[in-house]
Amino acid sequence: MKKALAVVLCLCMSLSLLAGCSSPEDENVSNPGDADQVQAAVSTDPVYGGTLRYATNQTCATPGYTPKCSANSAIVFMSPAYETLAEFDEKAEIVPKLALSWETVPEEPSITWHLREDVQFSDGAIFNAEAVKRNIEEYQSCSRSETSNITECIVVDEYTVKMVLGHWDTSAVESIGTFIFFMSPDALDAYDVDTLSASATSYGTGPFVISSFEPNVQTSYVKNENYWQEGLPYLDGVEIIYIGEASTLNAAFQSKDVDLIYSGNHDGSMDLMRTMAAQIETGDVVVETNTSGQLLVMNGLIPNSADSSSPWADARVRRALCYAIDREAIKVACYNGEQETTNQWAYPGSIAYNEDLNGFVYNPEKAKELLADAGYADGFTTMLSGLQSSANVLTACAAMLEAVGIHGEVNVIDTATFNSYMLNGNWEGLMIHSASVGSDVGLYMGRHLSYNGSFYTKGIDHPQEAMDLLEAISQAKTDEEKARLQDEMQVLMYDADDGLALFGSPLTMLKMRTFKHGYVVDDNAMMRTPYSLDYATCWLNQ
Amino acid sequence: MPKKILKMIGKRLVQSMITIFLVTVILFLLMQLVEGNPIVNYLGSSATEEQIAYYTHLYGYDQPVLVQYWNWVTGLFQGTMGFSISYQKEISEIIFSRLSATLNVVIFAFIIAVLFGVSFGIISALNRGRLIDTVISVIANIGISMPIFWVGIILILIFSIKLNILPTYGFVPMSEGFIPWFKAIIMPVIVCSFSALAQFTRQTRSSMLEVINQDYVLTARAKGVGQGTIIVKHQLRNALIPLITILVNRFAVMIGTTVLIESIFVIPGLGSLMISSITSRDFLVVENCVLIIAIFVTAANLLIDILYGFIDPRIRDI
Repeated sequence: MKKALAVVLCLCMSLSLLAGCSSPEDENVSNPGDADQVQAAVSTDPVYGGTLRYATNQTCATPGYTPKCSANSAIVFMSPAYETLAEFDEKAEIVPKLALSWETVPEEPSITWHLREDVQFSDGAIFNAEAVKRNIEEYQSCSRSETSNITECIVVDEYTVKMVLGHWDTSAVESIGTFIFFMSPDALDAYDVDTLSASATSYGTGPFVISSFEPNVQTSYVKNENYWQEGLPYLDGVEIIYIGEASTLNAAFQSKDVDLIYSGNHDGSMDLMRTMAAQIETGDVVVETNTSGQLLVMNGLIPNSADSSSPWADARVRRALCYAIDREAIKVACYNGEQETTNQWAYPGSIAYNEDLNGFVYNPEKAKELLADAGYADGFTTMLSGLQSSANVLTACAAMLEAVGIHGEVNVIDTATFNSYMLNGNWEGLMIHSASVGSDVGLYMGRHLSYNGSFYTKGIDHPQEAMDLLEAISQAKTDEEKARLQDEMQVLMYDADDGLALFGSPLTMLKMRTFKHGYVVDDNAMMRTPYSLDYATCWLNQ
Repeated sequence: MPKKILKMIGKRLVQSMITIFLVTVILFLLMQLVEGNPIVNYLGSSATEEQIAYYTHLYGYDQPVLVQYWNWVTGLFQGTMGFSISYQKEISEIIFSRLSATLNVVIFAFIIAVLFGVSFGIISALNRGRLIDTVISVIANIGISMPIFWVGIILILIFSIKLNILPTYGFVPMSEGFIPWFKAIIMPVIVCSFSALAQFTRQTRSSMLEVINQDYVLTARAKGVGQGTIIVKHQLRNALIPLITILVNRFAVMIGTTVLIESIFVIPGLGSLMISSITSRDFLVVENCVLIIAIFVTAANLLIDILYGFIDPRIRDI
């Protein structure tokens, strides 16, 4: 008996070994990158009821007090309950939301907003010019950059508010119109600034009201009975569930424990697309990717040029970096070819993309020439810092830099350290550069380049010509002038011969994907901006 | 209670308190070495220097380290653990609500591991050399060597995705119904108990084998004592001494190592609280969590010593 058991066990082990040595089956799954799709139109009328369960690995400190929610990921939590004066359409153009229209007077300079007249906050307070003014003052008290240029907020009449600016800024409409999420003045008055507390039931004009919030666990919303769009929302509630572990996020979606997921994890998204290829094919699962180029995240490698003693303070060394990195190879090696690459601060094909740019191409010999020219013919040692999720990218870049004589030490850091480096500008050598891109290059690059910008700005040089051009963009009188100046900025930063390369080498545009089951019907808002689902018009066809 | 036992308990209590005190000191000092600031993390990128300074002062983070430590420790004696910046709540409120979820998993897992582990170990020892012994030993070896992350993922694949009978994630308190609670908790409990059960099986088997042929067992058998009585009163009691150490220690370790299980199954427990607090640099929450775990471990060791005293009279004199 024992001999028989031993023989059986040996056979099993041998078979396992042979199976492990065999080559993998050819995958019959089509390239996951082809699966992006627009949900087919549904022929039935919307159905009322149900709770949308939306799982994500994004977090938020508190959605109950919008002036404190400055990260893009917080938009996920704010958009069910709060609204903005304007929003983006599928072409990344700004269209009315809480404001019906607006007028800009660059000479004055000012923006006058004409508000909707039939809007209430979910606690019954009226959304009017006074409420707008109150919110602007609150945002200013939290030193939000979007409102820092507003010197005065004038209530012209009950539904007209005029914002007088300190100086004309072409980004003001987008900045004020799409990043201020309005709260009920009564809720603002109840906010206790000394304890940093905020009621989880803070009130906005959105289709839902926050009913409970537990950080890094779940945020629940119930229907706003006072919602201004008649007949909406269709859903009874929304639950935004935090699932940090990528495999569990995917499993929750596959088992239909959640209806919709949004993940910034590339590998996790790819796994899910392969696993659910059949359902994607039939439309039982819909995959959405941002197609407007608005609010995408560009990843790159940014050198610390603020330190004058560092080799990276020399523009030639920064250009050498851009020549030394093969972004196409990184795209293939680290992302299975699934990301877009870019050579400037814009999504390829978007309105902010300068097609005529003489951008950097992979040329290690040119990199060596530039290094020699700058006095680093023997190379030097530098650090490459980034999160664990970028470790393979950092390793690949280190190898490419090694080939041109720059010895890079990969330094994997945690989120808090990453944020600290980003805010304080105290990273050593190179670090991963994460930047939002959009049609307004002046706005998004300005957050990194401007003296009072929020991200990376303390770690980079501020050449006068760049600062002057940034100022000129903000002062542009027409859209055409702004577009021309933005093209010039792309050249100033990323031109292969003379570019300043302050932001180093742009690498890839992160393709964030949203997965939803076919029964979740909405207007494909995620394809406009990656963080905002139109909760008001979303319904469950089941 | 005999004087010797009381004296032993008293001695162990004092040692435990000194241990916990040292843990608080070392922990607090270590946290000071970690880069980052909970105020800055919470206020975000738009925070001004003035705002950071204002809230740093408000929450006492600008005070000397010793003063901050003193405030924390004295607060503990008054029943408060401090205020969490990232959660905007009193820390004890957060920890005890999270601890409830963790203990649900750990206690249930521990009971299963002890009941089945000890039973399998006894059966295996009594049937040494037979097929049942081989089967149990193989399963125990597999249980010890299988990574819990993998076990968790496999269970989710089978029961949540393929069979769709259990939820993928989450925790449901028992107050919301026994069935929902059970369905939500059974997979995390299996994962948590798996390697502990295997370890208890192996240790019980080993301990039982040591005592199985002792003279007093042979004497008892010769006197006609029943097999059940021999196992429970003579063999198991003597086998318990090394086993208790492992059982109680394992319970304490389970509390501290639920991080992975809570991450896989998205359970809002102590482990996930620690991870999110470390990420947001909310040091006071981390310190209090580690303190709780240290108390559990110390209490477990104290319990072991006390139980030894009851089981083995020779140890009371030490």
